[in-house]
Amino acid sequence: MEFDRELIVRAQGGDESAQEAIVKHYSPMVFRLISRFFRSREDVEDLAQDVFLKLFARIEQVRPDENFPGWLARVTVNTCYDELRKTRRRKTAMEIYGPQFEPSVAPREPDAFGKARIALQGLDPKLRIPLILKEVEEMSVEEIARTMGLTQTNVKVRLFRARKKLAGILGQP
Amino acid sequence: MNPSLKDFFNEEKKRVFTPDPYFQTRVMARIREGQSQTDIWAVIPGSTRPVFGLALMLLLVFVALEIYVPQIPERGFITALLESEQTPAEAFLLSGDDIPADQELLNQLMGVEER
Repeated sequence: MEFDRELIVRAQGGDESAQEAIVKHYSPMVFRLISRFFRSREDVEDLAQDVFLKLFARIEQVRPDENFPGWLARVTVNTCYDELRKTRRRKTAMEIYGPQFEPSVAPREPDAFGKARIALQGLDPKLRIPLILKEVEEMSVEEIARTMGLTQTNVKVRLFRARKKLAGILGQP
Repeated sequence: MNPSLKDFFNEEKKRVFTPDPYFQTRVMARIREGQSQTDIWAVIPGSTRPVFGLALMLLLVFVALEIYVPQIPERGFITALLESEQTPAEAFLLSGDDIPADQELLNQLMGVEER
């Protein structure tokens, strides 16, 4: 905590070594969080860079006594949410207006994990993010609410809907 | 939760990317690059630059007109042209000076004519 406070104060003053120390110290956490939502290393790296650029653009807004890792997790999750929404829009546009490809070979039937992965990717980011934060990142409802800027009731409702929808896609009761 | 989904989420926990040793160097390079592009033209989005440029040009033209063109010209083109054809009496009448009393005015006009 003391480490964060000192670094943040120095980074707010434009100290580059403090900014670099923040990136070095927190990049594993940011990478881990983004990895939960994106599967390619390039995507994860690009988004992690965006997160740190956003962080230093708004460093003045960070209060030194604030829970800095929580604040950074919020910025990271919001960045992932925006990107997931954009990807979803692009995908929908490609399905409607893009070229039609006839596969030369029949697609292979996905295994059980493959089905779950496809089902999860089909979920709306609004439902997908809390579910992943709960099941993979093992966050509590309270932490998810704080990270996503929602009420705890809202998080519970989204988790319930996400599980129901996932079960529906996978054809389970 | 369904056991296969539980296994899937457990499998997902293992799938984590870690930053390479040069990640912070790349981030710092992007931050410095961003700082060097903080002039007003770089801040304006590319799509709005033509509109912004036109507005700026119109503003400059307006300011230039306000500064260099006097709002009430002392002597316009037509006035200057007619002045060459004016008799001294007409010039006296059109001079804009305070007109004196009737008798005095008559004497002054006569004096001008006699000259």
